Amino acid sequence: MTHTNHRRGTVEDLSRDYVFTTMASKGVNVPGTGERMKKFYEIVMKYNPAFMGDAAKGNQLTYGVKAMLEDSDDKTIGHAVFRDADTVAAVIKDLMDAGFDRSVVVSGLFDNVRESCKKAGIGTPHTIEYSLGTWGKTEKLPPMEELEVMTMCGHAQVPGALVRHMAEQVKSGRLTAEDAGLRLGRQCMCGVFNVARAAELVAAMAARS
Amino acid sequence: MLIDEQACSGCGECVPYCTVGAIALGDDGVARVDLEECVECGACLRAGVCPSDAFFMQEVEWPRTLRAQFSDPLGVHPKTGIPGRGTEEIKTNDVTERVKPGYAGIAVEVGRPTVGTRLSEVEKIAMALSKIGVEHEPANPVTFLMTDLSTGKMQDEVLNEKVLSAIVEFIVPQSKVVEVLDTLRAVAPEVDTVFSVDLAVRYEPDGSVPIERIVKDAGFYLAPNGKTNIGMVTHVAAR
Repeated sequence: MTHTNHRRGTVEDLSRDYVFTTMASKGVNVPGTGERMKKFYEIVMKYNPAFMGDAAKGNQLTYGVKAMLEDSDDKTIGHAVFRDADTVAAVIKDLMDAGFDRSVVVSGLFDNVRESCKKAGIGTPHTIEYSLGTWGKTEKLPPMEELEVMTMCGHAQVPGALVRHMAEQVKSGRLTAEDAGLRLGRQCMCGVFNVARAAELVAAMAARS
Repeated sequence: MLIDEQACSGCGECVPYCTVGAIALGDDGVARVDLEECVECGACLRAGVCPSDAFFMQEVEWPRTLRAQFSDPLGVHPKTGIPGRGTEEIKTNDVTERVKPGYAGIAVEVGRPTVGTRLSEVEKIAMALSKIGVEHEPANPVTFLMTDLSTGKMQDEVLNEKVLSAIVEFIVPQSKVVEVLDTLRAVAPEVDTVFSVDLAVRYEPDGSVPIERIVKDAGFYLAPNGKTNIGMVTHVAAR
């Protein structure tokens, strides 16, 4: 899956958007993963993530934080979203100190993630995956202000029509921007959606319209 | 996905939740799903906004079963055993060493972001890459649909199926990366959708990534954000 690799936004905005993904490798280290994932959730929850989920079961709104903690199993693919690089460094350090021995990917600005790794005591990361952008019939893409929200769900579960609808609801006062962020995030089944960032972006859309 | 027309109250709450815009309110005030466009992702049902519980999954047969396999984020692929549309890719590279030093893992995510694709467009890209000797990732849902791995030709009966995205994955020596990107650039005008391109390589021991300069000098864009496998397993083992 490459679902966190094409999040759109300005560098400034992306500096407040980081996603942790952790999973076992089929046929290599799956047995015993459940207890590791429970540890992962215990650690990330100390730092109040912007959103969380299990790609195999659902996000914190549809599946529940308690269920994630209690029902983590060998199929769990853990996700947690954070808003600053210092917290990313702290989470990485805590995972290392806990002897967390499952793969971890951090999606975000490369310079900031490298710095977070250094602060946490990881010298050089293992593998880097670049996005070379989007090619082909790009005229079919929605406007950038919608894409910035939509691409936070890499499985395309947050349509542009829904983003526009939420902006209209915020503009008319029927919803707060925070509630709009949550409603959009609810559709992102694996929990990689940054609901706080979405609230800010939708509020800005409402203000511009 | 279908909507029970007798149960539908015509409120229209469901319409913006469709990931491909396949739900519309008719002149008779009843919402209907355009099955030709529907990718069976399940987002409308999971949204839970229908006050009449009018959504239901119809019985789906091959090849339409492919739509959910590629589009439902909670669906586990019957052959890979993994949710989503690709392999574990770099997410577990510190354990699998799938992408080794000197090599590059490339993924072409057809239909992503947000546009969707017919599998016919995926075939165009797969066949263009096969012509330059790319070997398609064996444990990948798109590869499973090929009738000839040497040409990238896919089963004819699947080509009209619409999905949210499908990923063509492969590994090449880093010396071949620019040729691959040139091939993708050449096929792009023929493809009736969008596709996003990913490039994965190992960090050198000194923290550098030489391919970055090579790709940029060849005229290709690299986003400032992406994915980093931080090497947790190897670092913890070394402690």
